Amino acid sequence: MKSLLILALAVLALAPASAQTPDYQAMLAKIDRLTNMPTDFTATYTDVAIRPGQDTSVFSHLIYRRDKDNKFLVILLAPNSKKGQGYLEVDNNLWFYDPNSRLFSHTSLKDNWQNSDAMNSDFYKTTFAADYTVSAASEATLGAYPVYVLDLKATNDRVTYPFKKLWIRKDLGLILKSEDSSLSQRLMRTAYYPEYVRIGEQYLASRMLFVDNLNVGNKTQMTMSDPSTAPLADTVFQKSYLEQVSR
Amino acid sequence: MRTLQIAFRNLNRQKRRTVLLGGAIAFGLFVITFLNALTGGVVQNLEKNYSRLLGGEVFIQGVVRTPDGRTKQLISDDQSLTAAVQAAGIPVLEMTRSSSFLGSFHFHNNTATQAIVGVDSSQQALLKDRLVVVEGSLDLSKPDAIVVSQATAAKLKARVGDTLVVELRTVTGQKNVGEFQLVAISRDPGMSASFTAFANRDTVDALENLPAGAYQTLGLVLADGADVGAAVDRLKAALATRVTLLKPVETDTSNPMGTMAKQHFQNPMGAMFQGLMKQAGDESWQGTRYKVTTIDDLLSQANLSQIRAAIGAVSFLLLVLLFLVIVVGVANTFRLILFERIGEIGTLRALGVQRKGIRHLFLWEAFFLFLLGAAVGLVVAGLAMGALALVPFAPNSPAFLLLQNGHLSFVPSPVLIFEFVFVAAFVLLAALFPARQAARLNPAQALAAIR
Repeated sequence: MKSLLILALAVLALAPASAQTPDYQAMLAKIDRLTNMPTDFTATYTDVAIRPGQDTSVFSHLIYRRDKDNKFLVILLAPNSKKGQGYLEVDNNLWFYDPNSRLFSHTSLKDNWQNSDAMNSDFYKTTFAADYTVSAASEATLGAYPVYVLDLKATNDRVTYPFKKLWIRKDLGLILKSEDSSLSQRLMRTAYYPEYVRIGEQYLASRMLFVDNLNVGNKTQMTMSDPSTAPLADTVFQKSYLEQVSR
Repeated sequence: MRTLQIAFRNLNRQKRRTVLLGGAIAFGLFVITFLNALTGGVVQNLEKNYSRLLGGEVFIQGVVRTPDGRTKQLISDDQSLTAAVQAAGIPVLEMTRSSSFLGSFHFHNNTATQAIVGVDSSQQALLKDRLVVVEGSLDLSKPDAIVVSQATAAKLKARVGDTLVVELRTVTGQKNVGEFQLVAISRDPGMSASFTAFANRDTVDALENLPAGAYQTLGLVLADGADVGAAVDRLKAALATRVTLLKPVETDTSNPMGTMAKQHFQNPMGAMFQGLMKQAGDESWQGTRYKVTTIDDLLSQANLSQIRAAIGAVSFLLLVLLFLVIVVGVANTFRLILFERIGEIGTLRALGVQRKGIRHLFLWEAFFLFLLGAAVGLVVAGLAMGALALVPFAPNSPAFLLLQNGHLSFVPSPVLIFEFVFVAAFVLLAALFPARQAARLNPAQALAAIR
C-alpha cells in the first residue's frame, strides 16, 4: 500500500514535466506541413554567391513548384551565359538542360546549385519527418527568438546530409538556422532563414543565407520575389516546355 | 635481266650523285622509321605504365541496383569473379582490389578536385615501381595517408605533412568529409589535369560507406606481352557462366555539367565509373551486374588514341614534306641523267631496245636508288634507336610515363611498311616523267645530239 502511494506520488510529480516535453517528431512534421505548398507555386529568386578573391556571382532564376506531385522546374534568367539552363524534377529524376548543347543530362538533388553553396534540394519540398529522427533536443535563444534546437539523424541514405541540427522558432515552428553535417559528422554548411513570407497557411523562406563551413568565406544569399500560387499548366513540368522557353 | 644490270651499273657511274640522292632518301626513311618506332614505344609504355598505376590491364566492376531503383558501385563478394579469372586461364600476375571516388580537396581555402583511389597492398607494390615521388615517401600503410600529384599539391599550396580535408559523396550519394595526411607528392603524369590521388583502401571504403569487405574494382595485372583482347574474351566467357554482365552501350563522354565533371570523365577512373553507371542506368533490373573494362577502353577515353593519331598525322605530314623535296630532287636528277645519256639512249634504241626498255631502265635505276636509301635509312635508324635505348633517363624525368624502366623503347608498327611503299611510289613517280621523255626520244635525233 505504501509503495503504491509512493508510485502514485511519483507519477503525479512527473506528469507535468512529461506534459511539457514537446513532440519533436511532430515538430518536424509541422515544418514539412508549413513549408510545402498544397497548391502550385511560382517565384523568382536572386542568388548572390561570394567567393573570397573572386568576383561575386549574381544569378537569377524562376522556380515552378508542384509539391503534391513532387515536381519542380527551375529556369535560369541571368547571367546571360547561363540564361535558359534549367532543372526539371519529374518521376524522381532531376534533369539538367543546357540550351547550348540542347541536351538533358541526369543530375541529383544532392548536387550543389550552380556551384554555389545552395543545394538543388534546397528548392525542393522538405520531408524532415520522414527522413530524420531527433537524436537530441534542447532549448535556446537565437537572436530575439526562443528556439528548440534539435539534433537530427537521417533514417535513410537518400538524404544529402546524414546529420542536421535545426534551430526552430517556438512560436511558429519554422526553421531559423540549420547546420548540415557529413556522414563523418563534420559540419559542412550552415543555413540561415531570417525571413519568411506567408502565403495562405504556408510559410516560405524569402531570404536564405548558406555559409560554407569547409571553405571559409564562401557564402550564398538567396532572395525570393514575386511569389504566386496561380495554377500552372501540366505542360510546364515537361522537358518540351523547358526546351521551348530556353530558346 | 640485262636492264637490271645496266640500271644497277648506272648508279655506280655517278657515285657522288648517287650518294647524295640516296642519302636524302635514307635520311627521310630514317626519320620515318625512327618516329614510327618511337610512337609505338611511347604508346606501349604509356599503356603499361598506366596499367600499373591503375592496378591492371583488365578491370571488373560491380554495380548493385536496389529495389527502389538506385544503383551503387560495389563488389561485395568476389568469389565468383576470382573463380572465373582462374577458369579463364589468362596470364594474371596480380589481382588488385580498389575503390575510388571523386573528391574535392580543401586546404587553407584552396580547392582541387581529383579522383582518389584506395589501393590494397598489391597495388601499392605496383605503384612503388611506377609512381615517381618528388617529395615524401610512398607509404600508404597509415589509414589517413594520401599521395597527390604535383599539380594538385601546387593548386592546394600543400606540402608533405599537411592535413588535407576531402569532400566526397558516399556510394549512395550522401555528403561526407574525410581528413588525410599528405605523405608524398607524385610527379604529374601530364596526360590529364586530374589524374589520381592514392590512399589506403580501408579508409576510402569507410568514407564511401561501403559495407564491410566490399570494394569497387577488381584489377587484373597481366603478364608482359599478354594479348589483352584475347584475355578479355576468355574472361567474359568464364564470367558469363557465373555472374550477369551488363549489356554494352555506347559510351558518351559529353557532359554539360561543368568543368569538374568534365575533368572527372577525362580521368581514367572517372571514365570507368561513368561507363559503368551509363550501362547500369540503361537497363531495368535488380541485383548485381558486372562490367569488364580494359586499359585500352580507358586510354581511348583519356585521349591516348587522339595523341597517337596526332603523332601519326605529324609523322605523315613530315613524310609528305620530306618526300616532296626528295621527289623534286629525284625528278631533276633524272632529267639531268636524261640529257647526260641522250647519246647512250640513242645507241640503245638503235640497237633495238624498245621504248618500254628505256623507260624500265630509268625506273629500275630509281628503284635501286630507293632500295639503297631504304637500307641505309633502316640501318642508321636501328643504330640510333639501339643507342638511345641504352641512355638512362633520371627516375624523376617528366617523361617517365613514356619510358620503360627509365629507358626509351622503340616498337615499329605495320604502318611502316605502308610508309616505305609510299616512299617507293613517290620516287618511282618522280623518275617516271624523265623516263617517259627518254623513252620517247627519236633514236636518230638522239644519236645526232652526240657532240
